[in-house]
Amino acid sequence: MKKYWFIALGGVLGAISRYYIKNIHILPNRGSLPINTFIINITGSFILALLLTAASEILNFDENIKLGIGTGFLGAFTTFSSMCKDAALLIHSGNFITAFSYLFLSAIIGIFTSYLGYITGITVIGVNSKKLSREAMEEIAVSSFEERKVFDELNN
Amino acid sequence: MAYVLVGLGGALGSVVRYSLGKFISRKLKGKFPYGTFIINITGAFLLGAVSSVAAGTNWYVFLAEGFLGAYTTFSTFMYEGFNLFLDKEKLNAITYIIISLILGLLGFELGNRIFY
Repeated sequence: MKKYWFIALGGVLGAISRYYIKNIHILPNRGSLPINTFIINITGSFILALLLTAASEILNFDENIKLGIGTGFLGAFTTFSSMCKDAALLIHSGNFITAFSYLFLSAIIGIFTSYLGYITGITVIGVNSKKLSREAMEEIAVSSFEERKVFDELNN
Repeated sequence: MAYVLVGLGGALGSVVRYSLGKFISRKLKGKFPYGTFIINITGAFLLGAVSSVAAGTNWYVFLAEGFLGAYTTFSTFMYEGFNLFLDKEKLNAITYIIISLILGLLGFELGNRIFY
């Protein structure tokens, strides 16, 4: 099935991007602060929320492309396991507060950026659909989510 | 060379995450995102194991940076959490997020020690 190739290709690019960014030295005295992974995870969360909210409204979003970018690229770009390892290493070196702050902030800011992505997605829908009321835009966002659920169920 | 290993692992990790996630969602229905949850926790455990067994090798680059990095996902985790909030499933949302973090951390520790 074609979709697996899209997911695999996205995965290749996402993993490589993550690895590349992870190896950039952002802060001079970074120490063990996992700022690279944090930035990767937060930006990935924003883009995914934006993509999935507005995908049906952005041009004619082919399902394979959506899978390739969302599940493939962004799924591989962001990582949960590395975050857990980062926190564990911080705990091992005695930085308990940093460890728990890292997890806590990743989650809080992650949810918040998902929300920002959602709002941006709704705005894209609004711009695309020209002069919709706020309620109408939200309805489209909700119904595209419902459509996706139905689509997922049909595909399962 | 490292990038080839990472890319290859990335392709496999994403495809496995998609297939396994779909399989789990079909078996365990309901609002709670069992698919991503199980994938992320098992991925953290496996990373703990690989970190203790293969640290500093090309196998680590392939399995940990490549495969497990792609197998687990933070973006989907957040998006699902956010959607639970949007669906007024606050308890499920908070539970999902907190339990994922706790079990992820514990899972890594367990995997790290079990093969030591």
